[in-house]
Amino acid sequence: MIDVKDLSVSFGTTPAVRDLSFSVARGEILGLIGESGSGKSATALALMGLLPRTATTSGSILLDGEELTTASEKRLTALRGRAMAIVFQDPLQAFTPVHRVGAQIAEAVRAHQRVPRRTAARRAVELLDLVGIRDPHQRARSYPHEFSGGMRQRALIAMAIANNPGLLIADEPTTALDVTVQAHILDVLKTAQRETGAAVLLITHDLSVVARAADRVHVLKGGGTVETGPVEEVLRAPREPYTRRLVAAMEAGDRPAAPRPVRTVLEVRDLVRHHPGVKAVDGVSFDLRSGETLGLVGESGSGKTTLLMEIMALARPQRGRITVLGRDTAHVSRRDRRRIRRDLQIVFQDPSSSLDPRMTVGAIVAEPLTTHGRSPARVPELLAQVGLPAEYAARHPAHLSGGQRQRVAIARAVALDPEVLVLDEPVSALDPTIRAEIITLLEKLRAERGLSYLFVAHDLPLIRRIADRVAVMYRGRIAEIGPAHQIFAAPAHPYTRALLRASPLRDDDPVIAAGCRFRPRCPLYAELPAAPRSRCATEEPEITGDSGAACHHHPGEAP
Amino acid sequence: MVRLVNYAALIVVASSLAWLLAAVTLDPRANYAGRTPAPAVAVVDAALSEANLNDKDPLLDRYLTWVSGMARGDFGRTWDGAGVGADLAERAGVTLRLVTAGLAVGALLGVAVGTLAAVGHRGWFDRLSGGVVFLLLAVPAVVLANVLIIGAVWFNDTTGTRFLMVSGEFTDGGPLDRLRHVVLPALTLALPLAAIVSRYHRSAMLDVLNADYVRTARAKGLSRRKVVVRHALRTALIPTTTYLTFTFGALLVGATITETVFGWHGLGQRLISAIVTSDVNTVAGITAIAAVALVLCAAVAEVLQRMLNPGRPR
Repeated sequence: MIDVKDLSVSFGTTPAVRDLSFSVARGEILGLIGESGSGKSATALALMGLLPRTATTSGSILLDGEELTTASEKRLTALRGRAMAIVFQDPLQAFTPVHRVGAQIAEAVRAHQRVPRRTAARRAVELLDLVGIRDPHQRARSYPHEFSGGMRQRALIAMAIANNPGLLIADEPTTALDVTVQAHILDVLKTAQRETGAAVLLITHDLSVVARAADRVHVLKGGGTVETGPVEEVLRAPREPYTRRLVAAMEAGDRPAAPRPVRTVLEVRDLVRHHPGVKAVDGVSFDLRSGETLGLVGESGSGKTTLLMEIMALARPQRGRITVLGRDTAHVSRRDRRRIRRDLQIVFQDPSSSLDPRMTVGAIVAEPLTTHGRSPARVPELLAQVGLPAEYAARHPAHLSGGQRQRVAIARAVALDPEVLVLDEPVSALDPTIRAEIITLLEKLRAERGLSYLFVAHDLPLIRRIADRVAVMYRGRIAEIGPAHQIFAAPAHPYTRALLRASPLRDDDPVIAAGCRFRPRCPLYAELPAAPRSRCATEEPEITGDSGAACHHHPGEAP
Repeated sequence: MVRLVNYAALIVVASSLAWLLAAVTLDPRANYAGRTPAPAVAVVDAALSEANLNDKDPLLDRYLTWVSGMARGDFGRTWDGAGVGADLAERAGVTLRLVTAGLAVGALLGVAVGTLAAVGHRGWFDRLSGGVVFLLLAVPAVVLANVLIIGAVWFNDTTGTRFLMVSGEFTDGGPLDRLRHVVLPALTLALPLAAIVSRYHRSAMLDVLNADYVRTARAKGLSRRKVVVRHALRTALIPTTTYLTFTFGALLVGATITETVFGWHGLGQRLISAIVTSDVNTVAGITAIAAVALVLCAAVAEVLQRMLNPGRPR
């Protein structure tokens, strides 16, 4: 269907893609994998003829025998959306915010088919139905912001297949989504592929996505091909060192089980934070002991970030109690709060926005020191500890790579020798191999300094590698908490099980007012007989004992 | 509802402060000073008190008289006894017609130029329009008005007609007659406005043209023109509309020079002459009208935002 030969793309003098060749047959799914900067997206845009004018292209792209690199803009416009279609990465941005979703899909239909408006609108509803949007008539009239991330991604797929394209390109279609929703989207993508019989080019940096959906895989690095072959073969026996590192980053061993330390550094009891209309945190309890790492997982909107912000505020919570290093945050003086801040530091997800672009690296790392009346003389030592050369102190964040920036953010956070480090998705904005480096750094710092980590992530293999204990959050509550090896080996809560197996779960379920909030999505509930079911509908499950799951029917619980 | 109360409070406070400032700083008595023979002090006092302008009356009393009058819709009197309300009503109409015409032309021109400049980013049109905008913003309104008049005279001479009129709002009052009068003053308002709006809209468009959804729209196979109009322009209009709405309010009393040059007897012109003759009530009345207009503009902006931007968080 599509035959790419010696494709090279460069922006000015910077090459993005070098001599790339591949082909995808009708009905086949080819995974194109590589880190950011490996030329994946430039390849996708080149196929669609959507590269910016500053880009120069050479080589050949044959779509169904037709050369695309030399095709006129008019011809490309006719082909786009009809012969080839693309699903972009960020579904939040991919729809025009001011038009209804149904209208935007109908617009794609009418761009290539001479049909009346009503027919196109009906077709849009059919397509939404095909990708599994509930209540498609109603939903076609919604605006993009009224859709969840997974629904938007499904709607994008619906739009892409509106004209039965021969080639469907999916550029990081699941990157912005939660694990369970990712699985669901990949299923939808496969359905779409079956319906249209299209050749699918699946672009991703996530090996597990390729493993789940693709037939063949093509590994890219620095704009060129490193390795190619059937998916099982490449995953089982990667030949190139680069591929091996990628595969290794996907698989991670457990942390050895150890008895819990005695001293509690952070305790949260029955914490509640309600925003108008949203119960962001709705009764959360856990404790973190000295030198321990608690992994906090959960889908977006489960309240993880709100929980962290409540802790970092060091103020009286709406309800419940937060105790940091033995001090109840509701009853601390301003001076004590300052002192606690020294011992409780945070590293944010995106170092490109958490570091002031106008400050030098040295000034960023020195700021906490001078704020607390200490000498900034330690800056070179701190930079060395996070693996940065001392001369980087004079640079600005813009001149650093993503991984280097995150190292600066970590140096800033540990400058005051804190006891507790809160890490909010510290590596999710980074590429897999860089990610592994930063995790190694965090493990080293933890061992050297006896740090306690409250570690938020949605990457489960990562949590498995770094955490002693794991708490799984679901819609403002903890669904399950316990030692990492126990959670991973024998998950008790049906939601944890779905997460670990990356079982497909939809993300457009109604919010539940009473009873178990996981009920609408719960695979266990769906199979229960009526009598035990009623308990799920009326009674909010609590976590019982030291570790366990908030489920009325998990294996440890009498039915 | 809360917003309505806020708006009302805003109008009352703004108008009261304007009255207070005018009452304290302006001196209507000075209008009698140069007369020969000098009128008796008692006569002047009586006349001023009649118009609620006598600085010998306690300030609070005068204020209460003014406020209770305003509450009944009575704008008070000028120093020579004419009613303020009827005069301002007529002038508000004049200004409204002028500003509406100027704003409509300015908005259309500005949005069109801004869109084309953004689409051809860094191309010849972008550079040219940028230069013209700079020129227009550097030229004072009075110069622009006179250049337009010279151009109009030349136009009339070359075509041998008297199509473009340079003074007044109308001669006989027919629609074509009104159009002939409104072209030049409207352009005087519209050109600088279009200049600013085009830059404003251009940057809004540039933001939007790089958005992912514009790329999605192109990937659907829409023509470039449809993508620009339906997806980019439509979204970029959201910030531009807010700017235009508030500009409308500001222009109602800010078109003074245009009104003066072209002999349109509007509010801006009257505000200046009222300050010269120390007509406290007129100054306060115009300020009250401006406050109401601005609040109405805010309300209209709000409604337009809701219509244009369904995804906006409330």
